[in-house]
Amino acid sequence: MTEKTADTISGLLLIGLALVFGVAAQLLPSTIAKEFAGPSFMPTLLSIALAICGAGIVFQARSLSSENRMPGWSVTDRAGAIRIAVVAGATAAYNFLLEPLGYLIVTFVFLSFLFWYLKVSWRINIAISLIATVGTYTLFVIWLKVVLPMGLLEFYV
Amino acid sequence: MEMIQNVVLGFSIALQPINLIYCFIGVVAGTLIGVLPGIGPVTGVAILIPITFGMDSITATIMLAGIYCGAMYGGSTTSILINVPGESASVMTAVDGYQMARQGRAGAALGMSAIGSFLGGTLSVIGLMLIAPPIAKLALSFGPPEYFALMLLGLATLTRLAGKSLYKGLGMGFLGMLIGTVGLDPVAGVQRFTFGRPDLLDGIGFVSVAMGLFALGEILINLEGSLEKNVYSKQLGSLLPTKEDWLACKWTIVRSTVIGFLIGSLPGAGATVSAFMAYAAEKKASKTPERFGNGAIEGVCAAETANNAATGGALVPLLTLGIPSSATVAILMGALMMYGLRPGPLLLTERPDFFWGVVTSMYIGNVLLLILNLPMIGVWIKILKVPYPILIPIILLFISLGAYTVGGSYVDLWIMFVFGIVGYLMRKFDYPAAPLLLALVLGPIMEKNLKLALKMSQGSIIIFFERPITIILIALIVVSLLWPLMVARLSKGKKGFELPVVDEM
Repeated sequence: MTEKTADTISGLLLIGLALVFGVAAQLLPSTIAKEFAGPSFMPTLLSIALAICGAGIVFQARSLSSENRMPGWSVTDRAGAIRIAVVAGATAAYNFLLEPLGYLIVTFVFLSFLFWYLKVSWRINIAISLIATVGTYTLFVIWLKVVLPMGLLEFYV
Repeated sequence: MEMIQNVVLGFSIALQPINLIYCFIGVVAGTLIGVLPGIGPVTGVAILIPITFGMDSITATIMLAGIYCGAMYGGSTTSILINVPGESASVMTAVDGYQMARQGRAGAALGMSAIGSFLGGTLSVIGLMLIAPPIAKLALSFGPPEYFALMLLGLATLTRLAGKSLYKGLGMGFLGMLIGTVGLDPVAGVQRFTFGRPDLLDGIGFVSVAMGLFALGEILINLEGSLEKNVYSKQLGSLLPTKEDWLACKWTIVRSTVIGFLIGSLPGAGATVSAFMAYAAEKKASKTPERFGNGAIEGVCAAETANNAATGGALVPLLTLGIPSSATVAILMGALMMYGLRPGPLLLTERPDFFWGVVTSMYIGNVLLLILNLPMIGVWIKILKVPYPILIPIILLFISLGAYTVGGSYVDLWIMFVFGIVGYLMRKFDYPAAPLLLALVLGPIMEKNLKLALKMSQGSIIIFFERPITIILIALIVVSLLWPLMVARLSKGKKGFELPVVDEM
C-alpha cells in the first residue's frame, strides 16, 4: 500500500469517527442546572478537532508521491497475515469462553493451542501450559484472592 | 535540615525488609521486561499491577517504581546484543551498542550502559528530591485554569514529539480525549456513550487500553515477520570499561544526566526523547563525531544515562502536579489512584512517608540494579534466547489476566482486544500510540478543570488570559506547536536533528 492511500484511508476513517461521536454528542441529555459547558460540550469540541485533523491528513496525503510505499506493509505476507488472524481469533475465543468454561480449562486449552500452532514441541507445550495455568491460578486466586471465573469446575475448585 | 529529616524518614521506610524484598522483585522483573523485546515498561507495569493488590500502597509503589527503573536498565541488553531495543528508550543504545558487540566489545558496552544507567538514575533521584518540594509548594496555588493549561501543554508537547505528522499526533490526542468522555460527565454526572452498561460508567479503563495498544498490538506486529532472533553472544569481552572508555565518558555522564532529567520532567517528553537529545548533544560535543554510529562508547553511555535519568525526572510532574509525563507514568498514576492515593501537590504534605519512602527506594533500586546486572548478564542472555513461539502465548495470557483483574469485568478483556487490533492498525498506518493513551488519562481531568474554570469566570474564556501562570503556559503551548515551523525558517533548508517517533515511553 502506498503512503498516499494509507493516509487517505486513515484520515477518512478519523473523519467518520468524528462524525459518529459528534452526532452522538448532540443526542446527549442536557442538565437542568445552568452550566457553561454541558455534557455534550467536550465531545462536540473534540469531534470537530478530530475531523479537522482527519481532513488535514487527507489533504497532506494529496501532496505525497504515489510511489512512496508504507514501510510496514511490505513485510506482511500471506503466512504472516494468517498467523495474526489465528492468534487474534484465539484471543477472542478466550474472551468468549472464559466465563462459561472457566479459567483453568480455557487457559490450558488456549496456551496448548497457541504453542501447537506456533510449532512448539508437544512435551514443552504440555509442560508450560500446565505450569502457567496452575501457577497463575495459584498466584492470583489462592495467593492474591482475585476472583476468576471457574465455569464448569465451579463446584470442584 | 528538613530535607535530611525527610531523607532519614524515607530510608527508614525503604530499608524495611518487606520493602527491600519488593524493591528487589521489582527491579528483577523490570529488567526481565526490559530484556524481552515486545513488552516495554508500559505493558510491564500494567501487567504486574494485579500482583500488588492487597499490598500496602508504599510497598506496591516501590515495586512498580523498581519495575520502571529496571525496564529502562534491561532495554539496553537487547539493543546491544540483538540490535532490537527492548523498549523505545533504548533505540539510540542500539546504534553504537550493536556495532561494539560486532567488534567484540559487547561486554564493555553492557558494562558502560549499566554504570551510566546507575549514575543517571541515582543523580536524577537526587534531582527529584531537590526539585519536587518547591514545585509542590508552588502548585498549591494552582487553580483549575492553571491545571487545564498545564495539561494542555503536556498534550501539545507530546503530540508534537510523537511522530512525523502534526495532524496524526494531534488526531490521536483528540481521539484519546474523545474516548475519555465515555462514562459519567465529571461535573453534571450525566451518562455519556455508555449504551446503558453499568461497567462503562467509570469510563474506558486505560490499563486495558494500554495493554491492548502496546502489548497485543506489538505481538500482532511481531507475528507478521520471522519468529526467529539472532542473539550475538559469542564474544562478550570484559564487562569493565577500559581507562580510555572512562575518560571518554566522564563528561558524557554529567551532560546526559542533566539532559535526561530535564527532558524527562517535561510533561509529554519522556525517556525516549531524552535519549535522542543526549545522543545528539554528545555527537555535537565530540571531536570525532564520525565515530558515532560505528561503535562509539559515548553514544551508548549518553543514551543509557539519559533514559535512566529521565525516570527520576518523569516522577516530578506526577508527584507534584498529578500530571503523568509519559505513558508509563500514566499507568503508575492509575495504580496510585487504585491504592487510594491522590497524586498531586498535597501528596507531599499529606503522605510524606509515601513520597520519601518511594523516592529513597529508587536509590536502593539503582544500587540493586548495578549489583544485579553486571553479574547476571549471562542469565539475561539466556532469557533473551527464549524463542518467540514460547513468549507470545505467555505474554498473551498475562495481558488477558491483567486486563481482567485490574478492570474486574469482561468488558475490560474486550477493550484490551479491540485496542490491540487498533494498536496493530496504528502501527501499520504509522500513527503514534502514546498521545492516545496519555490523552485518555488526561482528558477527563482536563475536562473537569476546564468546566470548573469556566464556572469561576461565568463562562468567559478570558480567565485563561488573565492569570500570569496560564499566560506563560499558553505561550509555551503556542511555541511547542509552532516550533517546527520556526526551526525550518531559522535553518532555511539546513538538515537538522530529527526528533524520534515516540511509540512507548
